[in-house]
Amino acid sequence: MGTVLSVGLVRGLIWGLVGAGAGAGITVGVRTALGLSLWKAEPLAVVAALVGLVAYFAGLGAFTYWLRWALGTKEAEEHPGAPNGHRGYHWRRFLSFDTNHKVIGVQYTVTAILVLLVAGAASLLMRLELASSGRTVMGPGLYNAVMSFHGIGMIAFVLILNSGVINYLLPLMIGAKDMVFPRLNAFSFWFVPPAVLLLVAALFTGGWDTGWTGYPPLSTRGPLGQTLMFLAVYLVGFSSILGAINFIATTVKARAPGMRWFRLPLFVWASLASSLLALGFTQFIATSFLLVVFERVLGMGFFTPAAGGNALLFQHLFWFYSHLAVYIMIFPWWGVISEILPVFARKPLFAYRWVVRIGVLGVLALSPLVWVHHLYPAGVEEVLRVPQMFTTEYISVPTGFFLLAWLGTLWYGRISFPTPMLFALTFVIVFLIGGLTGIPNAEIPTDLYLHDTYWVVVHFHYTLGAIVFGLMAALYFWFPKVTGRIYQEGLGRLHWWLMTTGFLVTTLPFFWLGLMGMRRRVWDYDALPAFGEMNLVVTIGAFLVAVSVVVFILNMVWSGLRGARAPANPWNAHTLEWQVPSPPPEENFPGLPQVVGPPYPYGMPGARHAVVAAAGASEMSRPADERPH
Amino acid sequence: MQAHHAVLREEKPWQSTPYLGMALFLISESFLFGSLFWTYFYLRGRLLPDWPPQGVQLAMVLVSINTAILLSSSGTMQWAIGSVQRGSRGGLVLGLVDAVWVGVFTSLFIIR
Repeated sequence: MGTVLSVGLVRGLIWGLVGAGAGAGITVGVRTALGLSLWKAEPLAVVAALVGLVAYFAGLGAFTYWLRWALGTKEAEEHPGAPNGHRGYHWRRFLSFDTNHKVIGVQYTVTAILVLLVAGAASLLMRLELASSGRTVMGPGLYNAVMSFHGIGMIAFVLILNSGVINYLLPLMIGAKDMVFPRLNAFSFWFVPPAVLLLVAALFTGGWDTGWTGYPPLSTRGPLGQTLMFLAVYLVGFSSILGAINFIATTVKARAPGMRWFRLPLFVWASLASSLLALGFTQFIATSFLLVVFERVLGMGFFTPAAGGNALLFQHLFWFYSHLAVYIMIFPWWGVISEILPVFARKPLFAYRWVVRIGVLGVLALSPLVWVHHLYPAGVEEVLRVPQMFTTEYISVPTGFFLLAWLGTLWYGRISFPTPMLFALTFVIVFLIGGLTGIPNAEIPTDLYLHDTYWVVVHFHYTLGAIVFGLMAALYFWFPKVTGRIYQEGLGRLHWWLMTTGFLVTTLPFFWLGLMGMRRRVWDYDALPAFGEMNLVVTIGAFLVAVSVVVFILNMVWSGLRGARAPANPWNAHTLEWQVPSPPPEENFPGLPQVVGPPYPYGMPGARHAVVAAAGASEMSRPADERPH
Repeated sequence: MQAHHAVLREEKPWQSTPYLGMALFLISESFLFGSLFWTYFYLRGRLLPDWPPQGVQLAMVLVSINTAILLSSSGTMQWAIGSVQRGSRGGLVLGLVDAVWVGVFTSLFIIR
């Protein structure tokens, strides 16, 4: 029992439950004292969730260091999760409040994959319902709840995942020992488990049927699940903002000597861009959702015309963040692909400086100016429609620089095709199709026709669904680094075949269905024979993807436990994370690495990106205040 | 906590890592207020000249009390900072606790 209670997550959950109970008690108490009716579900749930959250953090040990600092008692341990000064990667560290960026990276990534599995299971349920017209397994109410859960689950999955991948790779790639704010970093992660719990709780308190967007007036009237979903998104957003602060500050302040801006691996540039966007704009979705919660709980009228509100306001606030969010989500994956392709083509990344100048900075500059294309059919202000049609078209130019760089890298490369490369190439093709099918959605005349059809659904499942291929590429590529073991190449290839085939069978018919006018978000469709056949094909494809995921999980678990030991640099890569043992030691580098050249000197004899001192040798040559105490 | 400067050189206070972190946090908060200004001017601009609509009024007393309470938390926070700069730990803890409590107290109006 003592062992179980020493796990931070368990203590946090117990304290959280007690706190939620106390919050509910306070609410009832205050309402009684004020002479109001005893029971009102919305305020009760909100106060219980907030008090529970604070108690959860306290139980977890998140406040321990700060409290001890303020009170002046003894210093908190650096790695409270590591039992008895255990320095290795003990499993208990992954379930506790730990400040090492690699532990946090794994925590984020594993949580994200769990969310992906649950949200993916929701999509299977949807496909079962849509396998034929009419009612098959569920009615419209449940379908709406499942669809909405799938949507928000996948958004949460990508945001959590990005924090995980950036956390693990960023300090390694720039030659730092850790993030510059390690405690804030751990704090950011631990917002995620209560957010996931709230999302699941929302399903059991009536669910919500607005889709992931939560448009009022529907969302101001829905059941309690709507409020809990808003709170969950709020927590994920908080985590995302605090993470962004850390990533930006780390990139600016903790680069190794010689790591000039144009020597940064492209993944670092892409993460920096993603973080810069997430830092500020996340506040807009927070505001939009918070205003709906205010409307529901406090009866304010931001979106109700009778009370001086305007429902279109929500769509502006919401999409100002949420369109930009696709760049927040996709940026790190452009970076990941730009890391993987040069390694397996044995060539430097093509036009690296121009990708940074035009690709990264261009998308950064244009991304806040394209949100209105989500509002074309909504009766948005005329003055915004046409200018934003042009900006939406222009943003494909800097995006195209990434594709150009990838194609230029592959051109005349000595390409090999291990599993990560297969997934990376699939990402390129899937993302290209996603981008091209987005152009008709940027044009007002075609978009008015396509907007509420499956065309849009399949468009964003190609652009953002590409992230799943990027994730698989990244997982197979960095698996030896993270776990110190080699994955099963055969199982990896089987996974790629099943997943790619399944994805194409699932998505390609949607283009046709969308053009034929099949409406999105709806639990049923017209009983035309061709519609039925196509939808059956789609459902079969979806289950093929599910089978591929089983293969993937088997491979990861089996190889993680029993795989052959991995060398430090199995791919002969140049970036810094490959110059340290697998898995990397507690503080990554024995001394300060020295960066001497650009990040991708593949196929150039004698060229180097960085020099890393051998373990132990450089300990004494470090400046006094850099030595461990 | 902020020890991992890769390049060691003389730093002005505003070049330090904690300063950068706080500046980034304030930038993020400025976006929050930006979104609130957007909300206000959007509602106002859309419905001029009859905004707020007939019969809709702010609960002035409640709002004033809440604003006053909230603003006072800046004072206690400032006091906490002053205390820790003078080396008075008690003042720091008291000021922080006070600021947090004031925030919680304001939030409790949700219960209504």
